[in-house]
Amino acid sequence: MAVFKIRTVAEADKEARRQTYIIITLSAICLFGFSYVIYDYLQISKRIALPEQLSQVDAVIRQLETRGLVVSLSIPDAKLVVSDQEWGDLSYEEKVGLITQLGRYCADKNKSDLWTLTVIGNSSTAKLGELGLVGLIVN
Amino acid sequence: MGQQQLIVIVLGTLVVGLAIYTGVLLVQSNSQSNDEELIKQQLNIIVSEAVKYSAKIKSLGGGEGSFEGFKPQNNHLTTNQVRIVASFTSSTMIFQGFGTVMGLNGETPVNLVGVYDGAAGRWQTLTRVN
Repeated sequence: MAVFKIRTVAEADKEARRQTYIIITLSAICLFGFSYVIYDYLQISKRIALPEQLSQVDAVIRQLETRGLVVSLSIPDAKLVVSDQEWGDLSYEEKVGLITQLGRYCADKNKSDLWTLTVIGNSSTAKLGELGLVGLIVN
Repeated sequence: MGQQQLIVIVLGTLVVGLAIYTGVLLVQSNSQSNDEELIKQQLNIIVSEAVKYSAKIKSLGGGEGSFEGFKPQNNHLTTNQVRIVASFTSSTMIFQGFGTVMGLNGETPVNLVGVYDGAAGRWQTLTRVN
């Protein structure tokens, strides 16, 4: 036999308030969670993806040229000219990764065992990075 | 079922979804850290071999104060989880170490760059770049 519980207006109001609090709390968690997901996605999508295989580096260089970061890469001189503005926007880790990978790429193309690369700013003409006998310098 | 209860169910489902996503991220981050440690361990093995090579005189097959000509063993350069490429100069060693787990960009594996300064006897740079 069904049992019906009769609630008072005060009890109904209390239950409605309880549900409102639950909705507010869950909405706040969702808002925070989705903000984090979007932040995480942006962090991933804007990073430079450097392939392990040197055969795939050509495509990355073309991509970086389109983006405006790489102005030119002279393989025989192992000299990379970059946009100062775009270079400044990269993180230290991205700069280290790019210099090392392109240094290795140039060495492979020049049939040399020594990885060398000099990074020059396009407008400032300042030396922004160097890889070689001095080790690795990032400015 | 009231409208408020439906909203609670929808929001609850979203929270569970986000919790699963965060869990996956945590596992991924742990795997990346594991790869990073393996690469560092392998780099240190190669460096110690290179330092030994550099300490030997040329007549004994060493570098006599230089890392040039040092050839690491293949099983040190490539393991099940780690691949290392290197360049040796007279005073520095430059390494790139790759793992198997996808790195921070989600497209290429975990990648570490190490530059060992032979004169100072320490890592000039040992950074995870992806």
